[in-house]
Amino acid sequence: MTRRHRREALAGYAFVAPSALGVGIFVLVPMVLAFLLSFTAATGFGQIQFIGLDNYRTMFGDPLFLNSMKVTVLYVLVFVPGLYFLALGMALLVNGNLPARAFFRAAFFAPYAISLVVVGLVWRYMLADNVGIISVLLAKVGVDNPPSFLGDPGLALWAVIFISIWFFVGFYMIILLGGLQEIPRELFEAAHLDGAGPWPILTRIVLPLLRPTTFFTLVLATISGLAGLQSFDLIYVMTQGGPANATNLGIYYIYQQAFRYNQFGYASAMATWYALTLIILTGIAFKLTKGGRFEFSEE
Amino acid sequence: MTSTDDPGGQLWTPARAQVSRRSFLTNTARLGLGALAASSAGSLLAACGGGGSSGSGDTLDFWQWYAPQSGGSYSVKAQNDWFTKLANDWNAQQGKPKVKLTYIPIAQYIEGTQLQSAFAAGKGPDVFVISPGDFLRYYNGGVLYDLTDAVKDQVGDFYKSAMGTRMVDGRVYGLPMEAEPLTMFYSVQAFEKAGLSEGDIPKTWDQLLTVAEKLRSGKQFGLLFETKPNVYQNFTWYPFLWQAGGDIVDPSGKQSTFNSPATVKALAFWQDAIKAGVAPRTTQGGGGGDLVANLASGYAAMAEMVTAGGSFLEAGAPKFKYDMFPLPVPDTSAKPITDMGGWAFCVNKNSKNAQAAAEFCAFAVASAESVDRMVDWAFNAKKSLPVRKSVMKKAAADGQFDKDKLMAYSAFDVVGLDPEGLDTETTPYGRGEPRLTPEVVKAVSDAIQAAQLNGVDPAAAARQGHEQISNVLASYRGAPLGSLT
Repeated sequence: MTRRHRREALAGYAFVAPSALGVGIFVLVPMVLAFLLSFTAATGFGQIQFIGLDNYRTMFGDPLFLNSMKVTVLYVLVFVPGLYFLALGMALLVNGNLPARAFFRAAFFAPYAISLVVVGLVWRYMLADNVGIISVLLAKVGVDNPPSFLGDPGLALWAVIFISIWFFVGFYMIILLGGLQEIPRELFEAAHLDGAGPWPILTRIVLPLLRPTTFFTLVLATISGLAGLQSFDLIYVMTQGGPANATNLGIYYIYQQAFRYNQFGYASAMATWYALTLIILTGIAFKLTKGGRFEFSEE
Repeated sequence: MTSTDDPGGQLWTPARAQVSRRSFLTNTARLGLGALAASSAGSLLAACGGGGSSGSGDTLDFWQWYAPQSGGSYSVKAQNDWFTKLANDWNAQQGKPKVKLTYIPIAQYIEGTQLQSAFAAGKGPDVFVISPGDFLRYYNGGVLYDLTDAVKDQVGDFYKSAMGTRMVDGRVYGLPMEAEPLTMFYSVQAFEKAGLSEGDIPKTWDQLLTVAEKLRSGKQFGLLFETKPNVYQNFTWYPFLWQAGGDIVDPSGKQSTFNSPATVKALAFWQDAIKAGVAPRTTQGGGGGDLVANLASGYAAMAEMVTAGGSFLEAGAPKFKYDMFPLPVPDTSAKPITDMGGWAFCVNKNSKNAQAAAEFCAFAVASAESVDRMVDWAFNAKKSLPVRKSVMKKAAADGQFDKDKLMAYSAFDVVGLDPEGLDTETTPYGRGEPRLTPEVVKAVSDAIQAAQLNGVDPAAAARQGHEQISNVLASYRGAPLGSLT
């Protein structure tokens, strides 16, 4: 390595060192400790007893854990594609010749700027039985007994997914918008000259060239959905895992086990399981796409 | 720097600045090394924090959700003043560690992680308050200090229904400061609008549903029960289980009795209220206990809450006309049993000043000298019932029950005490909130949720709950569960 390269490398390492140190101390170390805790029975009052794989054995026989996994998978299966297609549609809209385009970009992004706790509280009021604005509007258009969106186990999870998508769509719209704007304009001009309509342009030019951004968006949304990092706030404020465990996502059940039941070891085992699942899924995604690199061959 | 100006609406990007490669790399290295040094120093300093409990050798750190806080309603101020005076009275004594009050908002205290995190880090407070529902979590965790010697011969002064859930093997681990019995509140205006009067006050479950149907109108529900899956929902459901003749565990506290006709009946009652459309599936504001958001607002015409809810209504909705009636019973032969919550003073076993902390707790709520203080707490600050015979008798002698209709109603109509016989061993209709492990609380909660909101057959919900509770108790080695009648 030449002296110049060594200096460049040193500068690079120095640049990332503060961030790496922060991640190491506040993320990696707790992760490792949580992994070790998962092999113990820890009450949170100083009593820690090594119990081997007992927590993992208990997990797969725990109907509430299995229910939380089912709820989480359902959440991800609806949240991710719903979010992607809506964000893509909005990005295409604001990327085109829409009047007051800047206003719409800001308006679509606006929910993301609000605290998720405030979002949960406001939506809770809006969805209140009988007196919430949604129920009132439904009654006005002839729905005699408006449904209880947060009180009916068959509807509550859909309500949470809808609100999650509403909250995040602006953020993902911006990401996809950036990807759209990377597509060379000449391709669109050429396509127009060849007489291609909107659908062929979308399917033959936009979507293929958007693959890297799509991959990033889907991976990020899946990680967010599985880890439930954002949905926790909504669940805590709006439903507390109910009604009848219908919105008891994995992340919320982990919180309950740790801070309501004082089963820190068991909670750590579940958290380890979810982290492992995420690592495997992300690894598969990167492997299939060769590290997120997409090569385009001329047809 | 200038932005690229693209008429196609491109996102703004900064133009490149004119710096040399050499100066960029040199300055970057300096900046990076400087930041690395700063963050390392910060991390090392943070790691130098000491361990141990939150109090020091000279202080008793007292965590609770009353003081110090400013602003708020009359009751908030009164409770703040009571705790502040208590601390000052104790601190005026010589040779004792000083009490330091640490206020934690109630929502964070009950549902949050602050208390658990503090204990997990070995920095739990010296003194803290807990509800009966949380007693076993802390007792089984081995962090409750034995207060028996500090209380001395005052144990007999407490009603058994209050003290029983804080004792294990004859030893005291919590000193109850109050009892909060459940009752039904109703809107006088809603009753009048529906053409109902005091003669229509329901006495049985069926009558309650019938009256609720008459009160239902437009956007107003007739009746409200808690619907969120939490400890409070369980607390408000237990009276109906007991009235029907059932219980969660047997008298030994080690066997589940949840799978019983009484459980099925109580679950079916709550299910029927939802099915009939007279009770909502969700609550407003802070939950079922928030009478201002749920009752005074007109969301529901009747709501279940502890008697102290009257003071919340008077503070939050002073123009709202309300009244109360005892919880209806399954049939006229049943006793109108109600559930009594209420908080207790506890001491952290790992406190550096556990003995002094225990003495403080006894001084605060159990000593002979604390009688007037507890009368003030019950009748002025909190509007919750005293749990000591001496305090009850003092209050009666002072004419407090004559002056305060709500407290008189609570003591004599709801809990069934005899105004001439306040020396009774326990409260006839008032039963202490049972102490249960969190897993058993969850099993009961799941059964309630399944029947109330998911339409599950109450018998199936009871069976499922019984199975879960039995699984928990099969390997349980802690203190007995349940509550005394």
